Amino acid sequence: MALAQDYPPRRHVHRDLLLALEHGDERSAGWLPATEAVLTPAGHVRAGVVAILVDVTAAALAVRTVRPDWVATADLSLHLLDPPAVAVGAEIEARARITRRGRTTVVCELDLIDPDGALLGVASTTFAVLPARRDQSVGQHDDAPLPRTSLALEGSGLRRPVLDEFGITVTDAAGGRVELPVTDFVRNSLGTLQGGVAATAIDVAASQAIGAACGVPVETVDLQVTYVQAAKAAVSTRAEMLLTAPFGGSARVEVLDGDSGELTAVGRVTAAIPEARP
Amino acid sequence: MSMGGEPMDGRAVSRFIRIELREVGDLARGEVVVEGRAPVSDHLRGPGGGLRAGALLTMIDNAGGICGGLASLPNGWVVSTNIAVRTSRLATTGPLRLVSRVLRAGRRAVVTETRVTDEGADGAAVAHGILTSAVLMPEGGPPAWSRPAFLAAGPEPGDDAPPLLEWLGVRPEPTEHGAVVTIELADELRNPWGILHGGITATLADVAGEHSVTTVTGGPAVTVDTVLHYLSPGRVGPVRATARRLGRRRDGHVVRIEIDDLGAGRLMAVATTTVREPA
Repeated sequence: MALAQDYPPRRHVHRDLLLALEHGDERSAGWLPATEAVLTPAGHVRAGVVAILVDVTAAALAVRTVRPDWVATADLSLHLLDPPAVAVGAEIEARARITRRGRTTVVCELDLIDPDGALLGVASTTFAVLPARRDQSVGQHDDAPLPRTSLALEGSGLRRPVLDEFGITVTDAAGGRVELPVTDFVRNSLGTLQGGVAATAIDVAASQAIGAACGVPVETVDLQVTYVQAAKAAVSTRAEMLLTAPFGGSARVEVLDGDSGELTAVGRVTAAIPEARP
Repeated sequence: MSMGGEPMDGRAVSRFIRIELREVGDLARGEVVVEGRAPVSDHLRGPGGGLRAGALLTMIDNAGGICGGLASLPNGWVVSTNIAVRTSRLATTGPLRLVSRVLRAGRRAVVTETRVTDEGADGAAVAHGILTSAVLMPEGGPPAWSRPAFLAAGPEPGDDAPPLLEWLGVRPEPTEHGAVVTIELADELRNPWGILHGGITATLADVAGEHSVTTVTGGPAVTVDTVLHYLSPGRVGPVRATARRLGRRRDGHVVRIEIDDLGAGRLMAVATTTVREPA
């Protein structure tokens, strides 16, 4: 395990999403403002972007729990409730707690809350514990509570829609084929593709394929991702329909390493036809 | 943990769901693939008439677990840590065919993917499951298998086989925001590790989730999607599943379930399910 130096860089997904984090005793909270760049046409924060908030908040909590060891996301699941449209600028809050602290894994659960305190959804994550090398220092082990701190720097913020900023391109909607370069903007502290960004690619791939099968646009409401191995260069996806139904459908998505063609993650998505934006 | 010794120990649950498992992968290439076959028996059907989600998850846990275990030999054997299953077809004729493959076999964890199809309905897709297991070394070493592995379904339970929930001794009760379901931890519900079978834990999540919806709607309800984290082994009992309905969506109700080993005073599992009201 080698931690990237000077992480995250000035221009990075965590900063440009204007994420903020707070750490308490065995609990952490994260916030994500609903900027236009992360909203779906129906006015919801895109499920994949919520997955980034989930991954970042839970990983920060898990790392504080296992120090001096480190963690890597092993799986992530997200269930969104039927949400009203979020006002632009309003914040989504993720409240994370440790559900299990084992020798080799940490399980976190999260509640997603809107500015009025209403439940928007729930999420859970498993992290694999990566043992620290004895010859390697990971800096200060300060686990004191930390008040809300923004990850944004002056000038941070998405300038274009989030999928454009990530460089996600859809090459075949019905087949759920999406390509995503792994740039410094979307790398995690281990130098590989951030798990939430991989989840965003899965969200896009599945919602494109399910939308094509239904003949109308759909939005992801459930997202389940199992990470198989780290993605380093570029990834591509392909989707397979599991179900079409009057409400929408479900699909399985593979995320393949662009160089080796090996499987890096497998996801399962349920997407539904949204209410029209008022 | 002790594994008993014989691979057939702790297989009462597998026999009850009547699953036959056969290793079909190319051993010479180090490929581990397990194929399962199981009838859709009346004693495993749920309120919608189809196979109960808990029975389906038990089959997937079985097939995926054996597949992951064989892939972990000789470094250890497996204990389920996470299962995620989506049902795509409720009406099933059977027999069901399960195919489990390894997505990743690591030193500490193994991930398998299982596809379930209905041989009685031209191979229609029934469910898709991902099972993650931890690799642990049992006391006295891993179980001895002759390869390719084969586990017979065992004798027919007969027409007098009790329905699954009766066999488990399920006691559901409504609560203000959902439902609780309790069972005793009978010996026949234990797996070869001597702990509550993962499929039974999943069945409790299924039943508690359904009851939390039925309590509100008064009509039938069917679990169609499950994400479950196994947190600690169920050893003592009674075991209680507490379900809380979080909200309704276009495709069903979202329910969160906690499962406790009351005797050990320990949280055993947490799950989120989607429960549909069948048309």
